[in-house]
Amino acid sequence: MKQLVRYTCMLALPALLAAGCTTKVARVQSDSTIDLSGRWNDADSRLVAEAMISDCLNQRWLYKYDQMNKRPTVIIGKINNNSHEHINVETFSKDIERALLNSSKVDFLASKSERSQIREEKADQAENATEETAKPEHAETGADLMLIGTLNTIVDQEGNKSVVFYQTNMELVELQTNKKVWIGEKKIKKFVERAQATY
Amino acid sequence: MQRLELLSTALSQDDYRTAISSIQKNKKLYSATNRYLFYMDIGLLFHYAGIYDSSIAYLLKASDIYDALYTRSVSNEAASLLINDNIRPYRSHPFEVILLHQTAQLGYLAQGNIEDALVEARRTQLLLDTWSKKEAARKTSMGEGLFHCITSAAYSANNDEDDAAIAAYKAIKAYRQGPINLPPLVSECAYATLARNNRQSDIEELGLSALSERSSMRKDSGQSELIVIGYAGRGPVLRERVWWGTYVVDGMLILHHTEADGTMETMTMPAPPLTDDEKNNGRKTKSGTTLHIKVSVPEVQSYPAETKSFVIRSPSLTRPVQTEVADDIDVLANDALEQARTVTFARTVTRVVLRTIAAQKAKAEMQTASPLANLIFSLTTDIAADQLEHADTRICLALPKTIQIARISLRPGAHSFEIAAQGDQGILGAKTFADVNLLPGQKKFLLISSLR
Repeated sequence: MKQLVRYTCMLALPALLAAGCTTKVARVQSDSTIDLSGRWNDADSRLVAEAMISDCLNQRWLYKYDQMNKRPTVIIGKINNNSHEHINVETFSKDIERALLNSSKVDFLASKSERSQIREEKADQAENATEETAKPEHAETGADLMLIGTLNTIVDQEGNKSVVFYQTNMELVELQTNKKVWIGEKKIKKFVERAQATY
Repeated sequence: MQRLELLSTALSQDDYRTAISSIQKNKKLYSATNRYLFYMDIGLLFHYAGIYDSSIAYLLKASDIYDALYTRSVSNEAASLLINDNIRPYRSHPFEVILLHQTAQLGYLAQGNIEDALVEARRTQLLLDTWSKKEAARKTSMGEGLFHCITSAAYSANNDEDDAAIAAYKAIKAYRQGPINLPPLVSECAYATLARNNRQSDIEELGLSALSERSSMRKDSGQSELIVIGYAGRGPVLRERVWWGTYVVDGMLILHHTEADGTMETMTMPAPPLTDDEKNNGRKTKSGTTLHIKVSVPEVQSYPAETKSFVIRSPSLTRPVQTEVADDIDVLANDALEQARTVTFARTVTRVVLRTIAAQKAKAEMQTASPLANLIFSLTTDIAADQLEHADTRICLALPKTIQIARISLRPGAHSFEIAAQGDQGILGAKTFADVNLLPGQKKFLLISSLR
């Protein structure tokens, strides 16, 4: 009996150690919320995008263009990160762009950096492509509106506890008149408690 | 010392890529407890090499490790009380953490990415706020003057003039309360920023002098500016300093140290108390018991630097401009050790005393009939206890000796510059920056290093 127990332990122990030492991967839903560090994550980006999209498409700024029987053209401007974390704002700005474009109520134009690539290609076409297929320069569509935004944070911390408040504001500005026609806002607040000790 | 040997030759030749390659091939020298140092050393080296993307990636990883180390392992801390502090994960000194974020900030600024540079500024400010609460009794700043100075310039470049003025105010305060002398250029820049924002009361409170006739700073905003940051000379390392003396339970601690020139230094302080269990168990640790102990604590070892300053020449300038020292890492390291001196001694002495008592008890309990066996066991116990005692001499090895700054107002347009590292014997090396295009109101950062 003692030998049986000893052999069982000898076999079980390496297995247990191995199980504790291997990397584990579990696939989860892309829209699931998993908070690990307390910092800005994909769930936050998704919450901001969802809030902005539903608000943007349900506000009266679109009526003007509906009455003109015209789809407004929007360009994505600068979304300023004024927070204390390095956040890739494209994770939610692209979601907003995709949702608005797919709604068929809004047309989007390429952003400033995207346009420079396109202009390079057109210049290349002007030199190298056939006249019939080369896309003409100076024939771009001007945007009606620009989507800009800011992401701000307020942090209150004491010891191992902190409260982090994120506020994302996005605005649509008419390029011709500089009028702001829509302002969207999403606030997220987190309480983060770090373990002071572990075994 | 092995990490030092790995990097010494490459750093003395400003061959940063070779240094990076050496570290990456010898990762084991850093060990699991020194991951912070691994990422910070490489991050700094990439920074000196001008490869800012890689530098920032490594520095941010080091920052993540620092954040994760907030949680302390109870078992690890307990073990370090018996063995030595080198088994604890390296958490760095506050000035190293500030330098980490400052370096990342400068990397972003060199790339023209003001937004992320300001993110680093905000992150660092949160750390400074946390530390100021934890160390309310601290009489000096942690050497964050240059950080605030750079942050002020970054805010100004972003047209956040209020924040620029606040950062300028904090820069002067940090220098005045810290171990680094306030550079005249930083004083002038702060005056210009505060005056531009109509903060006369701040100017009076800080006692800043009005700009001189020859000052390169002007009060009006919107000026284009070149800001040169130079890293000069090798930063310090830490070595062990051995003290020996007498510990009197519930009494005094008297320690001696012999300098290289033979002079003896003596230090006396109240003996750190033992735990109640120790005091009540056995005869040897009752009040008044004396123990002869030997402790090792870290001390700063500085390197002489060939590079004394950087000189900027350009057809756009009427005369060459020389950098000023804005950060002295030797001074910061010495100040950090001095601030932690009492805690370090208390912790080290407590550890050595507990180990000495444990060793004596072990020897008493293991007495055999054989004198030879007793001798061998006693000697082995004493040698083992002695060998365990090592000071924590870890520090980032890629730090510079000084960080220097020059700020030059220029008209917008294309400029070219030659920045030369200058020593006592003349120019040590130069780098040309051609086609530096300054937009109206832009602040351009150029970084240069000469760690010789």
